[in-house]
Amino acid sequence: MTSTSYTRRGRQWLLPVALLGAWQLAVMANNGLNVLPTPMEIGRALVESFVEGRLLADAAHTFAAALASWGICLLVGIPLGMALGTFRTLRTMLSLFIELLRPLPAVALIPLAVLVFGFSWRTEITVTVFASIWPLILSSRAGIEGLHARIFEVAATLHLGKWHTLRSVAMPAAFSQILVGARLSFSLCLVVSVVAEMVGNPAGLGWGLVSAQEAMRASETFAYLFAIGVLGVCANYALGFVVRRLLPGLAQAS
Amino acid sequence: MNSSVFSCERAEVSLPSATGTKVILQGIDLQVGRQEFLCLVGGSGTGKTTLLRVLGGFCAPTSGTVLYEGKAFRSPAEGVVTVFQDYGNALLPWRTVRANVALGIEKKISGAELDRRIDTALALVGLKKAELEYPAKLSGGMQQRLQIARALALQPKVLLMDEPFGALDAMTKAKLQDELRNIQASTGATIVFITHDVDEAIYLGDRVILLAGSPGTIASEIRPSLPERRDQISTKEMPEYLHARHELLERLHGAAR
Repeated sequence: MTSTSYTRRGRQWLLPVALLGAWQLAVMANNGLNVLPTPMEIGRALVESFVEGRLLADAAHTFAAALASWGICLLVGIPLGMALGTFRTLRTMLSLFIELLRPLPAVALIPLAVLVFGFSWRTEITVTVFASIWPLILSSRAGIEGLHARIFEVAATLHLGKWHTLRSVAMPAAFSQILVGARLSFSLCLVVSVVAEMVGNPAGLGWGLVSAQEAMRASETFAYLFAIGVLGVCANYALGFVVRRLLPGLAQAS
Repeated sequence: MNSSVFSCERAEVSLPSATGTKVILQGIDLQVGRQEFLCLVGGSGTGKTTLLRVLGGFCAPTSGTVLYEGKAFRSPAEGVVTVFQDYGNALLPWRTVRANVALGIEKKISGAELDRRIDTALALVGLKKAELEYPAKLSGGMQQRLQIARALALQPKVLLMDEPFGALDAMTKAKLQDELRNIQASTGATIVFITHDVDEAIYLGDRVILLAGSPGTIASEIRPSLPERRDQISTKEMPEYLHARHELLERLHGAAR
């Protein structure tokens, strides 16, 4: 890594650090209003809940729930989307159904899920999958529909068999498009898991956030908010890393 | 068996269009000789690409016969490989140069033999040094070389090329023309080559077929009497070259009128 990229990375932190400093000073100067904790207090709450083990356990729950939901989205959404892109009959049969379901806000589904599954992880996963599967279905469908006719002619002239064509040409060619949906779906899974935990499943970071707020512990509320942000950043970074490692050609092409 | 690789007799091709069925090619009588370098020229809309697609097995004649090695075919025939103009769409960007070359043979052979075949194909087009790169890192000329190498890896008897150098700059084009003649000399492949560049057709072809009209027919044929070994500078100054070029341009313009 070059020294210029270090400087650039340093500059990224300039604004957040300055804002934190200003925040600290502002709260310290205004002693009357105690609702807003200082960054120092939030940091202390963060360390405390971390040492107690609560924060990590909650983060692990949220991450596991998001990951499990994402797994279901991948397993169902990709084949369904690819089938939709391939078979016109299926498209005509399902498109109205999909267009009716898709605009439903996931949060609106929580009461129904609670009725069926109670305040449980099933509610959380169901709601999360429902909210996060659409980008995958749509991008997988678009990935197949958008394939250039040329690549099938290439496959034909090279005498690749049907299976070889699907596995080595069509699927990887649609993959970059599917990947866009997969990443979108993953961020949604994290967000919706937290929302579902706040109202539908008393566990994880979402529930931790609500509990802290109900206990009027402002600094802990902020600490949980911070933890949710960090989890999102880390998860997206990890996903990007895995993609770059597994598919170096894709990164080169884009 | 006669010496023709392809033989077309009164072949006609119609394709669906916005205004109903349109006749693209009509009355095509054509014999493509073994190890011949045949160039197809003609204005746009005269059916050059359609003719190549028929030979390549992507499209069947509506009437008449088209035979490869004496047999009719409905899909790309064994031993016939098409190289497309748009190398960008034809290459697989997620595969390295080597893996792209492997595509057509990786299910048929493996291990050391696969490696050897890839190496041979890469050496023929001078891409050995770039074997671990991804296509996006290569120049246009290199990418087209890669597509040719991928075709050569199958050890084809016939290469069908649809304006393969059309998108390349003049220098690269000249270089690839010489390489292609050398490849043909060393592999003994038959080549059918579409171009709209008159100079390219005369320089490369043992025979040049001129397509004209709509529906397209074979308007005329020229056999430039040039030596086997060609050279970008001296060959193009030979009276035979200039004569063939003049002849072809005249007929091309005559056909357009």
